[in-house]
Amino acid sequence: MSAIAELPQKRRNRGENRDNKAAYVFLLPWLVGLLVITIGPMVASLYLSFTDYNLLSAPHWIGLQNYVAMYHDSRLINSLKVTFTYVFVSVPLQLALALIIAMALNRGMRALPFYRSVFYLPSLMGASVAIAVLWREIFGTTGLVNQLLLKIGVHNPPGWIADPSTALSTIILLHIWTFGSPMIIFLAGLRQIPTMYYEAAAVDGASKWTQFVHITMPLLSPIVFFNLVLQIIGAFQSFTQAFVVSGGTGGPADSTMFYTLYLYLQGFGQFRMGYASAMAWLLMIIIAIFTAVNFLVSKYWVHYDD
Amino acid sequence: MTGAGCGTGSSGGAAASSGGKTVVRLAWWGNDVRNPLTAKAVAEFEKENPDITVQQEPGSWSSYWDKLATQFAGGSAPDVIQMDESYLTQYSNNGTLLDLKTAGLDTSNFSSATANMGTTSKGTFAIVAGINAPAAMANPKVFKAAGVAIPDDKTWTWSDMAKAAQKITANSPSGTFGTQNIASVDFMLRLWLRQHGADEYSGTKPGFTAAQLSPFFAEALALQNSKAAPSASLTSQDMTTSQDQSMAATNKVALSYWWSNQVTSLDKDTGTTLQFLMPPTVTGSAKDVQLYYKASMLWSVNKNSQVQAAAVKLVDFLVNSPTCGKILGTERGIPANSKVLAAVTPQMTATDKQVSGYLQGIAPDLGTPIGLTPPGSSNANYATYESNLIFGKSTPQQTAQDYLTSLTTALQGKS
Repeated sequence: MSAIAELPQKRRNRGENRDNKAAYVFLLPWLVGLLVITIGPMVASLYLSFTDYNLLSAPHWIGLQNYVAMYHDSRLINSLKVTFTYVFVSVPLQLALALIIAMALNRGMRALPFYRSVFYLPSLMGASVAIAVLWREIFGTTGLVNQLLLKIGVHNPPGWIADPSTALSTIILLHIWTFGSPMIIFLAGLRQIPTMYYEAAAVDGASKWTQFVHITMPLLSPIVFFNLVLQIIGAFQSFTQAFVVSGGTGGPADSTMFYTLYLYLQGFGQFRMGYASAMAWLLMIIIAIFTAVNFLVSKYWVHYDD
Repeated sequence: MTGAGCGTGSSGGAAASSGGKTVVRLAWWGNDVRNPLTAKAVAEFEKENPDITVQQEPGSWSSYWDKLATQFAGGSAPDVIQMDESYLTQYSNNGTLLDLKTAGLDTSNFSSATANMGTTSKGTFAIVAGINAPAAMANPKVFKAAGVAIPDDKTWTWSDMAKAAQKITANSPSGTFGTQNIASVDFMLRLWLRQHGADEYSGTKPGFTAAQLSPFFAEALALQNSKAAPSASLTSQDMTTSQDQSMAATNKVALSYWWSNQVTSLDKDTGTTLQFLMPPTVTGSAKDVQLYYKASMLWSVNKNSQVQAAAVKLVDFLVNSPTCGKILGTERGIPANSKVLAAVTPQMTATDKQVSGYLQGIAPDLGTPIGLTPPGSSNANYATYESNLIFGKSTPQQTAQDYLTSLTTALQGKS
């Protein structure tokens, strides 16, 4: 009897194995990519981070020297400051703007798909070189913004990207402008919230603000959390905008020297590949810490329905 | 070997042959003028050497060095490499380049100064492809519009230059200035130091003291404050724009400072014929200008090339063949080989003649030749200190001290 009972069981197992194999075959392109393009280079860079390697002669082991040197590198410390400022200013502002626009669009307007596309557009282009070049032209010393300022009678307009005190703000502005992708996610989240909650609250005399604080925010918190984690990780890795806007220098006066840009300049400008690898690992650790803290703190403010 | 295939596919850097032909890979950074000229020269070389095929790998300056370093790391570097003076020591010290003298490259028609422009303490790892020199360039359009006469470069001093520039700014429409900021130009700093008995480098160490450098920064700041030179943000922007968008190319400054071979494109961009001037001196005598010749670019051969003989043959053709010289002209600088120069001279354009005339004209007033730039110098991050200076975040004294410290550290960091 047991033999009979086992028979279909086994057959099912065999079937599952076959399914699994098929799954692995379908996964193969991704798996090869993961192993060859991601894991392989990561392991290699971990090794290189303990070596002195200039690309031209073989790497040689120097232990923790790269990591010690990083601690004493004032330009690296400065690049961390620039990057942290960028992350802490641009991410909250961008998410706030995304949420505001998403709520405005969630009022059931007629041309919603049109507006959604219009607001999403900068996201698609924002990280591209073309937009960074455009930004350079708009915020140049004799660019569009300053031409307008001169027209309306501002005699000494700032240099924007050319001035160390305003260059980073200009790049932050570029990042905030690309609020489209978190906005789309917010919009999807907002539409999941049943309207009856708001109706019930309205009947009880709750103001719009109370509704926002007590209904929208708690129910939207998983989405906010998701956007926050993604945007922080993304912001730490920003490279293109600073590279293009500053002409690959991180200038003026290192004011737009993002961490990744400094890493690139060390690796490919100075041929200090060992040092650049060590820098990459520090960045990974920083991002990992931020993500972990995010997840830990999320217990206290993110509400899951179920 | 008839019907030999043409090797256009990637050879991967190993001993490459295609249908019995030796394949030599030639890499250079170029532009729309240089690339077709080089292609034409290569075609001529292939005609003279039917057993060799040259695989051309043109690139742009901005990505050239990333790519080359990566190729060396991966063992797939090209055989013949267009080299820059500032990278030469780095590559040769790491044993990646072939000693061209030992390999038998003929340099008999080069003057000894030019033949050794690619020579380090360990050997001759590159041969000069063309010569240039620092020059001040006066834009006659801007001078004329401001009603200022172009100064006499045999006698002008730094303060004559400042006075002329101030006058030009005062007499020009808003947004046009007398001179480019001198602190933005590497060779102006160097000439200043040389005119004050110092130099940028002494061997592999800085060749100056902070006290020798700070008056230069003070001079640059004075030019900016007196409006002889553009505002800090205009200068800052000018440092990172492409040459054709620069203030000099768009007729926004009367005096600017360039390597002599850059005049070709500047003439085109400004729509005028810029006038060459020797940079100003401290004493008011051109004898003290301390000018020098520099290799505008060089040719090197990969030491691990599997087709070394053919690669050296190609370099020999590029620098020693009058036929090749006639094709390439002066686009890579004035040829250093006297026979090639003689062949090129009759067909020179007006601009070429101007450049060549300038280089010959300064010959009696040359200072001591410069040594190779020590590796690591680019890590000194000059642009940051310059920005601090022009935006008033640091005094000339402080800037000089900070830059010297940074340069010392940067040079020590490299062996």
